Amino acid sequence: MTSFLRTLAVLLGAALSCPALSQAPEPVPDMSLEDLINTEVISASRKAENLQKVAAAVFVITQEDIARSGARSLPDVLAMAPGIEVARIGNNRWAVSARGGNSRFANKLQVLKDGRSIYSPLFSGVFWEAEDMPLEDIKRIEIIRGPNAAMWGSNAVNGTINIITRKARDTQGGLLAVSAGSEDRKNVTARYGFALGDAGHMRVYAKTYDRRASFNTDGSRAADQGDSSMAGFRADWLLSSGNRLSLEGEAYHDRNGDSYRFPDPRLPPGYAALVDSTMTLGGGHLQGRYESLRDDGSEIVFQSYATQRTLEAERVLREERKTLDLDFQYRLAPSGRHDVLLGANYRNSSDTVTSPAGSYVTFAVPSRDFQLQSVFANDDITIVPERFRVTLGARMEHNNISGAAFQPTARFLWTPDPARTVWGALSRATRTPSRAESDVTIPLGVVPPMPGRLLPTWMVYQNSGTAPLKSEKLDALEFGYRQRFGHALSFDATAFAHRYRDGRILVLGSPAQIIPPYILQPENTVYGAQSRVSGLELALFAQLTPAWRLQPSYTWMHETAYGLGDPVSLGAAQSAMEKIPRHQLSLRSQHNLSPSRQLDFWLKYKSHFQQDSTTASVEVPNRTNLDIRYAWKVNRSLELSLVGQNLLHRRTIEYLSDELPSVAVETGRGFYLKADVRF
Amino acid sequence: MARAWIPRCPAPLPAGADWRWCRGLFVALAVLVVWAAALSAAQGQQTLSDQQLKAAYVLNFIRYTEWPERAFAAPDSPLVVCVLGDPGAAGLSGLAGKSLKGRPLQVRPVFAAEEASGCHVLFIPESDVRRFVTTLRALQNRPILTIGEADGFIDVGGMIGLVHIDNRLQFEVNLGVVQQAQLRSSSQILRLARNVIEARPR
Repeated sequence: MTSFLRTLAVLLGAALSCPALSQAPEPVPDMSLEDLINTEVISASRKAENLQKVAAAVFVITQEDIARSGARSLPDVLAMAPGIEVARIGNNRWAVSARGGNSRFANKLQVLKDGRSIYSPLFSGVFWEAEDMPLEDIKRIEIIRGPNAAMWGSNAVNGTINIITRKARDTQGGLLAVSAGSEDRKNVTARYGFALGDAGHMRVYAKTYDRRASFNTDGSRAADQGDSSMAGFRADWLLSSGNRLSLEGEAYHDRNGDSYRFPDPRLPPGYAALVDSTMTLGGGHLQGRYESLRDDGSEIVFQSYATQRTLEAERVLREERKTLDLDFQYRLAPSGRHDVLLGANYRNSSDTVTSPAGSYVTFAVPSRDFQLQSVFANDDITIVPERFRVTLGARMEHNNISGAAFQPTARFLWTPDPARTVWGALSRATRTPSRAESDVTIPLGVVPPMPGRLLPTWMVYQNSGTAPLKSEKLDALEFGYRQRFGHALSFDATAFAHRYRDGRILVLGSPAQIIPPYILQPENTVYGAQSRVSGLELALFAQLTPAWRLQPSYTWMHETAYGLGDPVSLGAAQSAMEKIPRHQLSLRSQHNLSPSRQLDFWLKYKSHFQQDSTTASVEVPNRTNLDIRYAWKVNRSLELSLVGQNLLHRRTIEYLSDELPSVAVETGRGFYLKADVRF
Repeated sequence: MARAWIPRCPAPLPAGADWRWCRGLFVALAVLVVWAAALSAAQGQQTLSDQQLKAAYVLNFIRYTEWPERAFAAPDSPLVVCVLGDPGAAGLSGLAGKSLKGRPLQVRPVFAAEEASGCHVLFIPESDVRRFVTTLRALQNRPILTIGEADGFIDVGGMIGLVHIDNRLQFEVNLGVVQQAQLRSSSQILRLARNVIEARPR
């Protein structure tokens, strides 16, 4: 690793000495309008400028970054941000988290698509496989690491991912993107945008894909092939200056194979029941947003959405869920030193969870109604104009599972000069318990017979219902520094220390019962575990020449678990935390070989970690991987690209599924060819 | 020893993988980076910056807009380009001293609606729409061409909005507001705009 870093340093040093950083007064070119709209822009500094005034650890992924990454799915795109860990469990399943605590259903991350939360309360996480979208319609993704529940709502504990799609009027005309490849067998996106009267626009889109299964450790294909199709629309109207109305909707159907390995002592030694299951996720949403900007600069935003989803994991469980969310925000007219934002939110999510006969996963209560209400206030206070600002915000939240939570934040932003920013934040956020946490019964493992215990012991998680559910709390301290060097180079560093309290931990529950041919040992949740995570996140943006851009990022993380103070819970807490790679590096290069040809690469490194799930234990090794993309713009309406992914390994394991005990699989090298036609 | 700087390959390698092949890829990558740097440096910098493009756009918007005669004191009086804030920071100071339609261009900063009375063009570099919407709406019946960079500038009462789309700087026009101010945009502007909308001013 050290020699690798040294190589990188040498290359960076060589690159940085390129003469592209001077800043001279620029003459105004006399060009025709026709030429201007066709000129490619070098907008290196724009990205940095927009972030200069933000007192939080923000990383922005633009449409260009997405297109040039060669990534084929939403979670893969997120891997370019420092502080975010994206691990592929297989070709169609992901574990995504911010600042540690990764899991297939990483439970401390808020994910919003145009303001709609896509976090599922079932396991407290995101079913990424069902959250794909036409990547071409994304305008930008804002990744905010660290807690800011005051702004972003509950579960914005370790971070918030805010996906913003393009306005309908920015996607006028037609697009057909077709690709075929070795892993991504076929992937088709079609979109058409048109005007609705004098001041309205709409786009309709459809996407379908078919991805092959990952590999078993012996090299054969596993059972997790996936396919998905979706269709949706977005319409925007400008009712009159400052009064905007948007409507979005989508219907989707997604199917993924999976093999689970449930521990069962009734089976011969090995004690594992292999269950092949196809998970089907189908549903839709409808969402509306009204914004009114008044003459005095005050603004009202009202947003509402309704979603419906049916999840069916064959032979395991079935969940039907309906969610209604109402959100209101009022921004006071900017006056004097204060910029005040007030808001209120109401959410109702009702579900029915059932399990087929013989399933290993059952829910004690088949139906629940989750209610959440919150109000928040945020004040941005200018202490010294252009120099020093303080932000105070808080959200007061109440839900019918874990009660009330107060989530405050205090931030400062100091800009000694326009090129430098120093910021700091002290915040508290809470995580809402998941549906599974309170109601699920799921086997965790089998302890084989031993002297003194002649029968195998079945460890089964079941919440006794005696301990009330609690929200896990986070107190976070963060400091950040950003600097711009001319128009071509900017640097961003964040250091953080997170302290978690009332963490969830599994302990032995009521006494074991002998139910021949096995002994049943229930395990329950207790709250009260403590842990700490600290880390450093670095990102560099270097427009080395007008045609070549380099964007490295690096994350270092260190975690310490304390458990409840006894050795058993300490061990449990430690193995739950060990899923974080200590070092993570991403280096993206975007190079315009000529106005019509692009050559991009993306090098990723993650250090090893040990992962123990209930049914398996895996040492995930150090991994370096490389994606390369070559694109040729044949003419204004056609672009061809060839992408190779995970080129350095034939197959690697990245992550072992947790929560649901899937069989470990490896993801492989892949190639695809893509054509984008615009009309 | 000579190969000491070449990074170790991640271990364990999948069965059958060749160490030399893997190392070779790292070397190829390093060569690629150096080559890319050399190639880019050799290409030179003919590309225009964001700021230069903006200024060139403003020049063209002036060229293709007609002001009512009452907007000028005399046939040869200057055309005043005002910038909300610092013209230097907005990249428009380079416009001063140019002349167009037989009129010299003047560039000056303004900070409030009251100061904008003598302006023919008002350029708003601010990205937070709430901070200038009061100014914008106070001017909406006056023959002042408003150009802005904020996201959705034409949605809140601006006339021409510069937008970054697909790696290019493009523009969109709210014709309803332009006409309300008794300005005339030539067909050249309307033809090349990415979007032309006609929304009622409030």
